Amino acid sequence: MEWSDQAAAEAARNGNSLAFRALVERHSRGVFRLAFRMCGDEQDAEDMVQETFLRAYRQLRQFDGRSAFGTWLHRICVNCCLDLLRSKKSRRESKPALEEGERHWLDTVAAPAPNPERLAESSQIAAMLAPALRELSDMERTAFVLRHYEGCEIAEIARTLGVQHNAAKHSVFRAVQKLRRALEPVWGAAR
Amino acid sequence: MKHLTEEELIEVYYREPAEQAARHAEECAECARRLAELRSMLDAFREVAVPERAESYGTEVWSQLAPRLERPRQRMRFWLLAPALAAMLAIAFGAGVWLEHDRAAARERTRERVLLMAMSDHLERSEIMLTELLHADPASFDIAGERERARDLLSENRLLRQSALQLGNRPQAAVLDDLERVLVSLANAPENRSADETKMLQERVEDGRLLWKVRITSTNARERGQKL
Repeated sequence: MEWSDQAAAEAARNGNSLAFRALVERHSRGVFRLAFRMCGDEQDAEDMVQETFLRAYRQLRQFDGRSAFGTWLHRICVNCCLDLLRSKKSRRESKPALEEGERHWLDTVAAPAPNPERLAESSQIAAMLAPALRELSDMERTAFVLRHYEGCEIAEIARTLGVQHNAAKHSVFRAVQKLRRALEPVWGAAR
Repeated sequence: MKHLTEEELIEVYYREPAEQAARHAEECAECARRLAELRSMLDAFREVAVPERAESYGTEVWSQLAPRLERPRQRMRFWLLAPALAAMLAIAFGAGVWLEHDRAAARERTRERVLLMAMSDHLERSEIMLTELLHADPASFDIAGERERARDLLSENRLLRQSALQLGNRPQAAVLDDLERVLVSLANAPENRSADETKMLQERVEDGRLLWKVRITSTNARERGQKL
């Protein structure tokens, strides 16, 4: 049976595990992509996928259907990732930088296309972008990921972050400005 | 001519409602050049790949997730339980005064059975919560969700502890008293509760073998209730 998201959420709320399974199977890859962009680590992203669906399951009664299920789920995922980032940040504050051997995903990933030129270019961009992204605040990073990679509207970002519309908009601005400022010198030389 | 600010260029890039700015960028060579630079950089960010997951990824996620899910229970709210418990206590006091001895004994058994079943149900739900607390990662523990649940359980717990004391069941009251301390900590936990505080709470539950005590008391209550 092909469930719509709304119907599956309603059925899952009434204890139908097959309906919840349908939602998990449908949304896992999207949640993983978002978690990976937010956390920058494959294992963390996997954990966040589990955590997101666990929280969603417990909070199913709070899903009122006013927004799409995917949007609601992504909001939970962002909050899970923010919790993780905050806890990591507090642990990291006493350390000078990344631990030895620890690398950000953007330091390591390559473009999906087999074309070697594109592969090299993507790695180059990733290498430049990684340290700049790390310098963003949690709010700027979240706003940027949601706007740039997830294509969320500012109003949706504001709801997710629990801030006013203008604050969300300025977080995106600040993120782009900071990234540009950080990358401009290397970017110009690389072009 | 006044050129577009960086914020306006970003708005145009993201196709925010900025029609005037977008028109300007089309007409002004300088702004068109700056917009092209911005576009080239931001578009390039999208080239950075995310590790792909296979079509079967959702099934893999489900297989790991399914054992961790408890069936959503229709939780009995305090406002549903309170009148029932209050009625039971009223019956208990009323029975002693107004009813003959044999009828009073029958009512006493009924009252005790209902109380024991309510106790067992309450402890079962507390057990689930304690299990989740013990297995939670302190760093990502969802305190907001647990706080509401702890508040519900706390209200019931107080009522049941008083009933246990009135019935002279001190071991049961002692377990409820231990449980109440944990519930109070969770119910009053601030939003920004640190991972260390959660860890300390987990240790307190573990050290006091609270989960084990709750489980045993719950089983005993249910068995005794079924026998009555």
